[in-house]
Amino acid sequence: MTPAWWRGLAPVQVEVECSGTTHQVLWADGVVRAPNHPEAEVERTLATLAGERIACIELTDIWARHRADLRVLALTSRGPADLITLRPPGQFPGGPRAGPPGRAGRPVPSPPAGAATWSRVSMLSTAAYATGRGPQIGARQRPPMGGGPFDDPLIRLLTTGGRLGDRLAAQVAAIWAERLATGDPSAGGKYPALSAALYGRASAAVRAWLGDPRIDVAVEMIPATERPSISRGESGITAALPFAWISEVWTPGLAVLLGRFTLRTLESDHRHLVLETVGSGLGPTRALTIGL
Amino acid sequence: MADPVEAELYLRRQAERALQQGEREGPFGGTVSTAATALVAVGALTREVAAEVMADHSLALFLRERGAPSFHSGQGVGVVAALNPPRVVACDAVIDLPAGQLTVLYVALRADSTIIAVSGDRPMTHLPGNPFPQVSISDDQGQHGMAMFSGSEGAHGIEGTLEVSPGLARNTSWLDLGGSRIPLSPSAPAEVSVSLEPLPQQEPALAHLWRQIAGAHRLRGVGFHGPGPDLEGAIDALAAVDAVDRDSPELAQVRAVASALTGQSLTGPLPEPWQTLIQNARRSPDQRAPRTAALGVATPAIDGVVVVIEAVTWGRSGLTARVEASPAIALGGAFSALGVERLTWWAEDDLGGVYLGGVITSQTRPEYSAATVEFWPALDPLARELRLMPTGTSHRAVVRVALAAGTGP
Repeated sequence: MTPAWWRGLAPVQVEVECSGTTHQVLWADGVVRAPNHPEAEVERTLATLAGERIACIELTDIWARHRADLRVLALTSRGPADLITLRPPGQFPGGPRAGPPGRAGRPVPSPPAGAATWSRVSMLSTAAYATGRGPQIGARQRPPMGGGPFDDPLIRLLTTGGRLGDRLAAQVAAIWAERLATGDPSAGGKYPALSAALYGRASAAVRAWLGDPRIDVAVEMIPATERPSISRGESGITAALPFAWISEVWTPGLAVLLGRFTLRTLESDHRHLVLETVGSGLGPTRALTIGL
Repeated sequence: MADPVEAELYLRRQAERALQQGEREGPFGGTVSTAATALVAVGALTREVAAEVMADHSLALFLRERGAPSFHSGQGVGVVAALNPPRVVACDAVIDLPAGQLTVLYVALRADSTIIAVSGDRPMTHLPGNPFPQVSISDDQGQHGMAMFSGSEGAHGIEGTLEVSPGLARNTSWLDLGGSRIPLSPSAPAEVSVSLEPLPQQEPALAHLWRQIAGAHRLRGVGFHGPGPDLEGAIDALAAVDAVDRDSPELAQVRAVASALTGQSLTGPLPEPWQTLIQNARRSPDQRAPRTAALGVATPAIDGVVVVIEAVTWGRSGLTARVEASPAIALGGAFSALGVERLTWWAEDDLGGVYLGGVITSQTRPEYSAATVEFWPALDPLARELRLMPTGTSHRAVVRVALAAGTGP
């Protein structure tokens, strides 16, 4: 069974200045919600009639409009070393809370110490993002701008903080992986954008894995039915990966584990995860099993 | 014909590399815009697709606080206006202003502004709190305004223009400039003829590369002032879509010229007109006061670009032309539009000399740009005729100017 694309992704909460107070917008299990607006449809209609804006609902609407927008993959982070540091001039201030909350605001329990589980690995990875390590939290607020890039709703969402943009990227990647797998004709004309999105993420992961930011990395996008591979040649590294590698491997933080590069998921259920991995010597692949 | 999918993929991967390598897109572009421009120039990619990739890349850099977003790359040609040549009157009047004594070289009376080209032997006297001179100006029909100076000031004196906008009466018989009256009597027009010529056919990729060299707006003095165009970036993009053979002798010539322009010694003869141009590159301007040929002529459309040449000036500040062009983007500057090639500015004299110009100052308005084009090397002092050749992608105009008084001693 293919795991849900959001599995392994910690919930995200952002604070939004809305209706004169601070609200929360939550993402969890693949869904973005505005819990302070339980009657969102009614409120949306009333706000439209009154010519008013409801920031929380705007944010969820932007999400819905861009959930399959490939521009998201062109703009969002390519990995832990590539952070979106810009903050908006005031549309959705607030940013991430100190830790990843659970659904409906419940705190997420800390994983048991020493539990070498997939949850822990991915939790640590995403928690590091969500707590804004590095320049994320301290990014300066810019003065309000008249017009310009912040007129683009997508830019406002991506600069909201709290990794909401990364969760949107995860959704976009999952949708397009599904479209490719089912032979959706809309995927045909998007080959360059899809291939470049894979190239950017895979090449960054390979360079980080090998500790060589300048090494040449060629990435070939292969059909999901073909076996992925990675090898070293005279001119650098060549990887053959399906687009679904983004959703299945890269998004949940599994690209590099224990010094090994992950090519694909071999098995996955609610108790364990088996990954096909390669060591830095680029020798034969080995299965890496993680108990959950 | 190159595969547009391969071309788009190349450009998108180039954007990914630039993002990973920490590149910042400067005001004059970067590797992505270099590749995009090349791919559009040879028809491998549509302007719309290239603009989309560039806009996304620009926003990606903006999100990482690595530059302001630039949307100009996706703009189209812009408005093309029918330019009316100004009335240009050659002068040789000396006026005394509080800032110093200036010689008026010519007056250009445009529909929207009046320009007085001036030079001076000594640096200006700057009044406290007023670093740029303003001069009251009026015409014989009672219109008046304040003309603002812009130009350069150095050890050799000043060169520049006084401009007032809106313009004064085009048919005025005199201008009063700070109390000095300048007669604008009808004078014998400069001997000038204008024609349009097709350019020899050339491979689109090679033509693009030659234009990159000739059109580099930092081209000054004896070569590139600054890093010059990213020729290898353009070649990589063109080779990726099989638009150019990396080992072709023509490409070797392009590289040899670019190398010579960055100050490397020549290892063999260069193709013309570059050989002649570079041979004479170190000729210094003569040190006499500037002289002017007042032209006020419009060219036929050069690949869709309309050009007006107001005047040509030569002397101690070198050889310059004041020009206007529509659409504004054709004169380049910091902004460019995909699929819109800037004009390149070649010139020849009657002695076989070759000159190449670059825009050194420009003012952009919605419908046109006005600019000063500086040519190098300095004008041959024995030349009696100059042919200015604003050059497009398939045609060039030839504006033939008799240097009536001669330039020699």
